[in-house]
Amino acid sequence: MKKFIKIEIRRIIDSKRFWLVLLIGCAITVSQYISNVLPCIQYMNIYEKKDFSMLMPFEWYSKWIGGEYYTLQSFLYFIVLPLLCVIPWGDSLYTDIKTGYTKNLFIRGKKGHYYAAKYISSFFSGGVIAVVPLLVNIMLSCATLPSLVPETAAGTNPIFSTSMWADLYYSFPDIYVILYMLIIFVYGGLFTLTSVTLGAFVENRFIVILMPFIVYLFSYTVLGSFGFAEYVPYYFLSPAQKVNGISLDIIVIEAMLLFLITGLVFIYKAKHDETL
Amino acid sequence: MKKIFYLIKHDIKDGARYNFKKYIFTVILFLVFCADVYSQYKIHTERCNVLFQPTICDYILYIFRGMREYDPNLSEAFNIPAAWFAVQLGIAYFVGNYPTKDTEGYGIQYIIRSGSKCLWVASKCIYSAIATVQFYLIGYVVVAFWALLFGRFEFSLSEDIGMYISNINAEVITDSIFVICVLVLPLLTSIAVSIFQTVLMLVVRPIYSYLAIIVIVSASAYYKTYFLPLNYSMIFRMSPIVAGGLDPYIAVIIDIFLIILTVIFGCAIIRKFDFLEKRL
Repeated sequence: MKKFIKIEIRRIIDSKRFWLVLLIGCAITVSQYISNVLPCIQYMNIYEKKDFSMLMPFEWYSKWIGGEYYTLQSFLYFIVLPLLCVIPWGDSLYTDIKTGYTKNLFIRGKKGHYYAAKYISSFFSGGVIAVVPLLVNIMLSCATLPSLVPETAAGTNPIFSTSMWADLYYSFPDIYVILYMLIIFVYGGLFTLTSVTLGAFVENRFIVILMPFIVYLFSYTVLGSFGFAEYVPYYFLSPAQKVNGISLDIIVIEAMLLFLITGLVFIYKAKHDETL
Repeated sequence: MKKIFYLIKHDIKDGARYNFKKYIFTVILFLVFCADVYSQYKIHTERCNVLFQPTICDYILYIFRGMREYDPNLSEAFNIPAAWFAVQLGIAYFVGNYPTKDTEGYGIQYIIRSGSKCLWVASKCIYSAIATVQFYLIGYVVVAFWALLFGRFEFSLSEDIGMYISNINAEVITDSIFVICVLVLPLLTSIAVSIFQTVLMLVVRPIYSYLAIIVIVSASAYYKTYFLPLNYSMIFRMSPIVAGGLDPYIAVIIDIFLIILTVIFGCAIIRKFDFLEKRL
């Protein structure tokens, strides 16, 4: 199976689409840095020059793309996230089957190993695409603004006392960010897995790539309209927690469900694939 | 001229077959919006704020109202109204990748036999416009049907519904404003954007074209400007409704100009660019 994983990872890295999508993601996050983080420097200078002893200087935790909810880029990044994750590798199983690539692999190794490698590589491909642009934004923001522990009295932070992990955010914000990056990584991987799984059954490549986004948008529309916003991935994936009532239980249960469905389909395909 | 009619006829037939599942999706989408309005109406009825049931125009106004100009300084989260957002992206999904279907398999025969690549592009643009009209028609039919069952089958606006559900003063919306801002402009703007999406598909793959539409939709909701055309499909951005809004008549002219310009641009691209081989 290691051999298959190596091949799959090599294919992802060699794919132009992977780099193009990373570039698009980074363009969004870097533009957020330029429009939202960089202008804070002028206020930092004022703070240093005059004696504002009661003024809390800006820290990057409330300014980076995941820490705020009022810029266009923040909205855009989290709304197109499933699409970005899926574009490079979401249709890989579909194209492998259509082009007969799987036949070549099945005479060189076990079907189960191919499907397992596909599952793992797709998951990591989506996760990397979701997280890398955010890391770029964090690095730039860290280089510009201080890493001061957020202060509730400052009133500039999006996390309230009732928000998930509020204690953590106001005591160990780095750990809060790391844990959220982990959640985003897992969901990025799951978006890709959903698309790859659909590729085994759906005949239209466009639909294969677009379907996770359509479901994501549908949840934004339906659940958001009827007052169940805390169940909508768009809302709970943003570290700024755009709505109240987000809980780890919901995030974990939805992820487990997606893992279960995609995993079962992959196991079924591995056992019942009659190619060759 | 005959050829373009043949091409359009083929596209309508083939597109209907290709998009069949998307018709169902559209119906579900509009049913959700109607149910949303109705659930809000029920809540307000219990509070005695709303006396009369929503009419067809009330439902349509709610769906196409969009949002007021966003002010980031208010520290409120930027969220686009679900109904308006889903309609705009629903149209892009509805147009989908059909216009580029002819670039694969036997579809290339259509391009060759049409005799002119420009004619082929024009037919695809017309198809996109027809698909957009179909989307709206399905939506209006669903709304009318819902209003018949759970509302009033009337073409008037209720002040109560406008005030408490759509958050809009229905008194200022005259018949002519309603026709231009709620019926004509959203449709015309959607046609312009879907033609733009189709032409963009000649240069980049459909999925990137869809991505570009998401960016335009989001940016239009964020910034109030004539340069972002989807502003025209929001009644909340129009001058008869809000002070300092956009002029609906200028918006109509820009939309028509945009449609013509995009088709000309599409023809120019296809003459110079090998879209079968070099598409990104």
